Amino acid sequence: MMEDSAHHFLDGRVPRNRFTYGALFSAASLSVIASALIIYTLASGTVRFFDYGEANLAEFLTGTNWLPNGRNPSFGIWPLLSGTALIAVGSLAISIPLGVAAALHLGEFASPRSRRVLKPIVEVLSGIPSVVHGFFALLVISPFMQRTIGADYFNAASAIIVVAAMILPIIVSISDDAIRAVPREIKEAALGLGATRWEMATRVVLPSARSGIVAAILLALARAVGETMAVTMAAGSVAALHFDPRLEVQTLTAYIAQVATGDIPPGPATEAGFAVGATLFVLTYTVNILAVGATRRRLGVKRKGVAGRASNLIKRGIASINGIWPTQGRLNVQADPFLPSRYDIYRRRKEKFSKLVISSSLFVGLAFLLILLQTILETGLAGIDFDFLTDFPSARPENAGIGPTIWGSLWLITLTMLFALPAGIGAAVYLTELAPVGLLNQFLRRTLQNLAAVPSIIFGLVGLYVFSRMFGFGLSLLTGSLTLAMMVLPMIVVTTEEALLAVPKSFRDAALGVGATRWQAVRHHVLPNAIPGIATGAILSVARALGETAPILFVASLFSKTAPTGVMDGFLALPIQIFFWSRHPKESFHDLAASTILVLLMLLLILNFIAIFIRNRAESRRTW
Amino acid sequence: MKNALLTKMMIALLLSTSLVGCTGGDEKESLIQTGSSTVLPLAVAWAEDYDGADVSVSGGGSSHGLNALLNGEADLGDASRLMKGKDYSKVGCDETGVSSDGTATEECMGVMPTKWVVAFDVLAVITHPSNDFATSLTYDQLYSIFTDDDPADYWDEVPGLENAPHEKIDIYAPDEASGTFDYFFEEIIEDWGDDTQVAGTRMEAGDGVYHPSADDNVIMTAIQANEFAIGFLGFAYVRENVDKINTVAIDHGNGAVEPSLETVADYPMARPLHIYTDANADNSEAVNGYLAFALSDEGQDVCDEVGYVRIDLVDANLLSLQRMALA
Repeated sequence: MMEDSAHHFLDGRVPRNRFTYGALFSAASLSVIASALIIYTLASGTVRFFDYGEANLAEFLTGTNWLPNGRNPSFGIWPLLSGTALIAVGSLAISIPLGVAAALHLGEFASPRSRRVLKPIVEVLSGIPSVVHGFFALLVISPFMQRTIGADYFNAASAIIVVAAMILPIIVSISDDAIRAVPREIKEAALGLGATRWEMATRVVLPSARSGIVAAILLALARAVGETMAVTMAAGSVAALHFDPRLEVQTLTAYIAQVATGDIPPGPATEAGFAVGATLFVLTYTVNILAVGATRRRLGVKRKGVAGRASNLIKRGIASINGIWPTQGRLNVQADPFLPSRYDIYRRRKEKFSKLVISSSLFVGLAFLLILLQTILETGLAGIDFDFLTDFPSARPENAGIGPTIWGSLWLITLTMLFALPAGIGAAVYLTELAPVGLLNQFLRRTLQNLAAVPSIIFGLVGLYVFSRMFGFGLSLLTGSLTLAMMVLPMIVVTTEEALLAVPKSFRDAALGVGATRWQAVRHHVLPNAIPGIATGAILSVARALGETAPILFVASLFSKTAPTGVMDGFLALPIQIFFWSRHPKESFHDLAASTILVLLMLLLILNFIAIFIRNRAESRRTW
Repeated sequence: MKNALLTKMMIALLLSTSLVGCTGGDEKESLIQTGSSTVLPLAVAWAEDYDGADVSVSGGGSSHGLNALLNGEADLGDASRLMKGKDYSKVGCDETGVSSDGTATEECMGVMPTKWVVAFDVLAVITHPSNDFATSLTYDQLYSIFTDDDPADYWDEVPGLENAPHEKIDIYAPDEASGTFDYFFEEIIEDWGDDTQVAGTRMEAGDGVYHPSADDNVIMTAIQANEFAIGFLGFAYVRENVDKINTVAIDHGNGAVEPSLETVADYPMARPLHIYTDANADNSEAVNGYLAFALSDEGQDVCDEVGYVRIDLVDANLLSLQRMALA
């Protein structure tokens, strides 16, 4: 559909407004510049690291000791890789069964009404910032783990649980899409052959949605590998090669975060952060490419024609149903063929039981969400009053508030949007409406996709190295917002594209038909109709920028008495404040962190309501 | 039409934000302070109490603080260690421009770093409250417990502790990312951090005796639970829990000294905490105003509050010298 409309729209007219085209093209190229900056930052840092001569590439990639400080520093990345793997595999082990079961329930068994209730749970879960998960893991799950399984204060297990909750929404929503895309006729064919709904779901629907589910799992894996804050807060900072979830581990991301927050002497240990960043980048990039490949395969099958695929699946369905049925002989013994055999009764019971099991999968997510919210309300609500909202974050907990912090966050998201919104919308308009279909367009799209998959802590490295150091913006709002703008850019482009593509092709045709240039058609007929969609996407990007911690970990301040007054000022931000207070040795600061989380969640909730409001209003007013 | 309005609004917004950045005049000076996480609680408290400027404070480590100062990103760089030639060479300056006492002898990228001692951090070696055989330890004994150079596995193997029980030693102490870790080993291992360093830490021995943790609570709890455990922590933290564990008196050749605020002048494991500033900065006046506050009696009281030690308890001369330099 995307290619169709753009293609149709392209009729080789010479653009009249070269300046507009130039500006829009530049916006579209920003993703290339951003990607180049990422690669430059990581590559040059990695080169500086190896220049120290403490480790060569082979030692770095094969070594099993990660001791960045000390007399004989050793930079073998395997302990970090094993930490990352432990958390990623552990969280997938929880979230794959839960997520696929939930998607199956939503797609095949849930009534439309319960779907309307259940789907938002997944969305709410995905909207919780990772620093909030980190708080929950460190101060609620970890103590529980210490009591029950004898875990350390910092342990992989609590990180695994919250990361599982973070990637669950990815698995549910993408698997759900894949399951719902399974053609109705092959499902009906399976039922027609006598399969129970459960047999149909597991033997026909799941196999045909397989590649979509694989893509979902791979994307979740990339997210789990790139997750920083929850892992840094809960899993600790000791790089050790083991797979015991009760002990402390350090992930690739957590090491980079440690470089950002800890006392690490200058030299190889700090530059190692860039080499670790490069490793992380390559890892997530590879997983992402595999995920895109899996999605392609799914689309590829579709193109072959539903009919061929359906017949194939029906054959498979028959084979599997034959497999579970008892022998022909016993079937024939049945006196009355219309009475259910014992085996049939077994199958029905199995179906009932299985449906119950998978419908409960979503309640696990719901329970997690409720416990999280309840804990935060319990510890945080009492602390919220006018003084808390206006005072500065004092070192004395009884006086502390988040006044300048709220202002810092508001400044930050406003500036971020000032940079990201024009660039993102411009890029989307260029790519969907004006760009010639071809290699360049494909390249730009691919770059954007890849940019969207870069772990957020890597943007932090770029922000520090490029904006703060190279451009000399320092530890300022400008650095922070440019960094965040880079991160939300792909999100704005994607949502804007969706909004543009939702405007019927006939609008463009009509405008062109009466002699408008392409730009005029876009400017006066497509864009105005796409505004609600764009606004919704923009607001969701604001929400994302508001909750992100890792990219600004290097540049945000921890204390200031006043709100910033200009773009070159240092700034406080809500998620950073939560991070700082959660890790404070004094417990009264943990309550302050909970109160700050409540404020952050309220702001996110408001943003989401605005987005829903705009979407609903636009939908009800739409005349097409 | 709507769109034109939107565009105009956007331009207006952009302009207004860029203009806001240029205001000032009668406003307070904004200072940026960053660096050591050890200095951080002090810096936050000072920034809070000082009214002469708006100081925003962040962490990131001593190296980060010095780096930010040299790069002109920060007005004040916090460091729990001395500046080294490495800090200069890292930004492309000549590493001979820093002398061994952490002061700069030449400019680096137009920045002339000036060193200030703002407080003392005291380190405490701690044991289980029932421990009566290791109430005082020498540097040599610490060396045999905490390094990988022929380390003692049992308490009675520690030289001079032959009457101690034949029980396994367990160490609970900060991990290598912490400034406390670095400082402790700098004290007991000769040439720590140089190529000529004489031994490694017990962690490097790989015998599982050293249990590192980034969290002070964990270390404290572990030592309370293990009769034969030993460890070390910042005195700031130990002082608040002094009834729950034993502090070990340390002997560095001049008799054993218990860690306490009263004895700190003689206690060997006390290190200065620094702030580095740029003598060439345009806003030196504001920076010095802030420093003068940190070194005033009111500012030094903050040290007690966050668990460090006032300068004059260790070296009264140093405090008055620095105050004079700022006056």
